[in-house]
Amino acid sequence: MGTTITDYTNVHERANHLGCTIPQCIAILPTNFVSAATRADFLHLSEAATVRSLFRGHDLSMDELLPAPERAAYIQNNSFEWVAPTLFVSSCLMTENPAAVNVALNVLSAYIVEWFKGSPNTDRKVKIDIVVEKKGDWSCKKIHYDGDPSGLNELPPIIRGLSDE
Amino acid sequence: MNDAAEEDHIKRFNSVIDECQIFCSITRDSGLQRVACANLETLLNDCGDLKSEAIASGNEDFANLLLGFECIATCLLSEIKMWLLLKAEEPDAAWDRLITAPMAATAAVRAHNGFAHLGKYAEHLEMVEKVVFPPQVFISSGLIVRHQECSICGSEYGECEHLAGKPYWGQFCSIVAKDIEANHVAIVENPADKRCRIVHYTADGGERNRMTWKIEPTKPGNRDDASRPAIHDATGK
Repeated sequence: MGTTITDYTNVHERANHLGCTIPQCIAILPTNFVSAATRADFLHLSEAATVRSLFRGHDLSMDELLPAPERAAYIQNNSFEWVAPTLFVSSCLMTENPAAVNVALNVLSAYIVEWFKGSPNTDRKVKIDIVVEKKGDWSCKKIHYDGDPSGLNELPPIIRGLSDE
Repeated sequence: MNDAAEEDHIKRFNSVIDECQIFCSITRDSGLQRVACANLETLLNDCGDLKSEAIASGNEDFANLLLGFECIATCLLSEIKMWLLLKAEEPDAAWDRLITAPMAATAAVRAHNGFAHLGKYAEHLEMVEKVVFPPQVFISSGLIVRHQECSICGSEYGECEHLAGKPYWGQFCSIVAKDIEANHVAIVENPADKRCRIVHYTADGGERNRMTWKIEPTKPGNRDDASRPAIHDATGK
């Protein structure tokens, strides 16, 4: 349980290479974003659709990597944990509207707390990866969080730190 | 339906639930437990009828409260049936009931704020699982899904406003997987559904049931592949 930070592929370059739209705010990255041979092979976690609805319902802007009307398939892993899709936070968003990250994580945390309502405390676990683009050179770091949903609210300062690094 | 009529129904349902909860124990008389099951099934039918009325009259909150009553009735019914099945030496079927019960208790909490106290009940059932049943080996499947449909409105899930797990007009929103292909099967510690488990494995003279430890005759479908464990997937996936 906790947070780990590792290097991640340059999302700007990778999206460009695959002919995807380059995300300028928050985006959901497919589970195989780094390894997919083409964008037609992209696979989203099933929960990606929930996050999309959730953010839209709170007027949070999201970019789609795939040009319309293309749509990625989903992978449903039937596990008890709530595994969130990988979120991408662009350097542009962190410059223009950093508060959007706090709102996004609050919205997500509130939904997951509701999702686990009534479950024994030991079962309430969430896993999420957040890819943060650094201002200036667009290099990326991945934050992996594994723990209680309420801990998501502690991630914004880490995201800000990585973006400004 | 006016507020007084709603109150009357709530009181009646609470009274049935309180009476039936007494029978959630292995020591209770099986005949009385069966009567409690019949009462809970009647409650489920009544809830269904009232829910239709609540929806027709535009009362979403009452429809969701009735959904919560349906969940708690299902929970108690499952637990009482689990004890009955254990007394009848049917532990595999009893396990399925055990797993249904906390899922229903958790669902009741999600259905309406009036059931927030039921979280403790799920913990009690978790204890029953650990104390009464032997450890199990769980299976989880991974599926590639081309389309996800919203169970509430039928549109592509993620493009409507509904959210999986939330109650809407007396029904939970869930994701209906369409155009599916199998991706992988894994042994996991915490599956979404503990009814997906290995039920027996090949042993000298047949198949050993992981629950009873008895050797049973090999089922015809398993005869060609002696090393393959049999997987019970109660979800029908």
